[in-house]
Amino acid sequence: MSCEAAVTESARFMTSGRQELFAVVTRPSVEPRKVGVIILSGGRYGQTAGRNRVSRRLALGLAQQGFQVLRFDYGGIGDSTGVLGKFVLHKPFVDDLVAAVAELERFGVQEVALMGDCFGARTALAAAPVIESLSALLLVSMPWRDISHSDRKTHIASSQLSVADYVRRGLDVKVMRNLTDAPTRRAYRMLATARLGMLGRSLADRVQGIEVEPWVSRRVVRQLEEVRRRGVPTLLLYGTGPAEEYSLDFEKIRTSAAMSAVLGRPGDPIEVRILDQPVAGYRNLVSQDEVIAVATTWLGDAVLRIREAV
Amino acid sequence: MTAILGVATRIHVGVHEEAGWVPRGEGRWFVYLHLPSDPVASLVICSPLAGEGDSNYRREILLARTLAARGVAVLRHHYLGTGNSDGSPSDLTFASMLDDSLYAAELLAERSARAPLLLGTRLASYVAAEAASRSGAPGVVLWHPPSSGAGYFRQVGRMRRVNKLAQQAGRSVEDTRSIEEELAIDGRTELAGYEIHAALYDSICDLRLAQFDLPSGSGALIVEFGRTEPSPWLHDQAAAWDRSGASCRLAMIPEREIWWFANDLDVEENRQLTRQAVDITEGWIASVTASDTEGVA
Repeated sequence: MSCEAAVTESARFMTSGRQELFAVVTRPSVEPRKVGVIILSGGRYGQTAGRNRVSRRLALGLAQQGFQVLRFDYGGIGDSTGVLGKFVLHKPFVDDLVAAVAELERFGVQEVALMGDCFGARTALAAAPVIESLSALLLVSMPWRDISHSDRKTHIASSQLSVADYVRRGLDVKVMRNLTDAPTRRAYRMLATARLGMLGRSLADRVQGIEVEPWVSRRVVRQLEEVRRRGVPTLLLYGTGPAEEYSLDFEKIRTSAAMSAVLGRPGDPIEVRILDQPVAGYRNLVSQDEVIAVATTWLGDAVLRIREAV
Repeated sequence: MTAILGVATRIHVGVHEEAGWVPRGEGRWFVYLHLPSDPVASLVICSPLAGEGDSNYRREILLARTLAARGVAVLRHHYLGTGNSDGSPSDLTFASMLDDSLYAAELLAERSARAPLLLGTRLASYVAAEAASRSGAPGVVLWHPPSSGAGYFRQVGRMRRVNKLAQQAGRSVEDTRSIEEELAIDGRTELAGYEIHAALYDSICDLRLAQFDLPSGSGALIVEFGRTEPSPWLHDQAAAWDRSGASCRLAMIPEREIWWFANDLDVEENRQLTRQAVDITEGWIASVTASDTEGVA
């Protein structure tokens, strides 16, 4: 029997604010668990099946294990209605996710696990405090910065320069000559503003005794501390490769004092796994299969661990 | 009436939208219908594949919703082996895509009582052209068709190399196998996380747009992106179809589209390119529909 034959799929429209979100619910043909999984996409284009059908393959694999799985398009994306507003990492679509949880509860689901990549991971983590039935979080390639896609490069560049670098570059004749060009002036201003913001945060952190890099989102750190406090099994999954920006960011902060407190202790609910392949955006066929394998195994185990703890 | 399973429906300003799966053989085929209450025409959308499919997806929805609001019934579908449909991507071929699209035309004719037009983008232009010819469609719309399958895959090969460089952040690419070598050895190749199987490559590589005949008396709209004047080969092709009795119109959209790598900066609704593609297509379908109605009168 093919895995497609062992499950049923149904399309849904769910309401979130003024928008109707398109969703697909995948359920086992027999005896579903009371545990649901919501798959959150990381991109602002494409459709519910995901790149190369990763989301659908995940849903089929998880439904074969008895999970009831929902994947959906955010408002203004894919088959959903509405027009996409701001798409920035620190303003995730929590309302859309809450609507998805309510939809899954209609199928008798009592506990919900969330799995998201990139923006989807940020959405899952941001929504965690408002989802009482949350049983596990699987965060793939989660970004650590509060930025929009368009200012990503500026943010990264500014965090790599020291104050001395800025002064040196500011006095460079070529840089001064470029200041006559309006777009270049704008780019320099963005770099300087980003750096000044980081400096301000850094000073404030020193006063408060926080030891984490200034470019790291405080929201994310707080949200992770909260899920750890609640004991929600959480897996941070990253890939390897020179273009894996979020993974490289994570490596820079992993050993910092603030992150050690969140991630460090054995037996903690927050685990970290690094795959040998790039995973960001699921742009690699080998890592797509690996992520699906890790997700289906880990989510099954996470739910069993909760059962044992209970 | 053809059964649609797991169906979801919504009604918006008189347009009934239905999404679900049609059982076909051992698999389920995903369809999405946009049905106005009294259709004046109908259109089957044949989507491009892989990355091009994802980057064009929202544009197709915007077109479908715009047309449906003006009385045109639209059917979008995921080929078996792709998207939300069942089936293996290794079974996807030109013949299977054509089969799905002809089935879509039958289903839409049944639901709208109108002979469907077909629209195909990139490689799916070939599918739409052949389906239009076989079903005797009143017209076909081709969005940025490639001149040949071989040329298309050459372009894909170049993009694949650029993409690998990007993944390596500019470091040298160790794997230098060509698409053809990978297909021969592994049976599949990949670009930006999308797989292309040997069966699909083999079924498309030898095709050329010029080999497709359009029914005499039918209409064709060809939209080329990233140009202000038509490519010479496309101009010649349109002239050839004109000579064979089909009425062919060429339309240019100056903005260039990067088909394989979805636009990640602008909201699709706000893009000039998307608005133009939708407006041009809507206007042409309205003119075809009007001339049909005049003919009947």
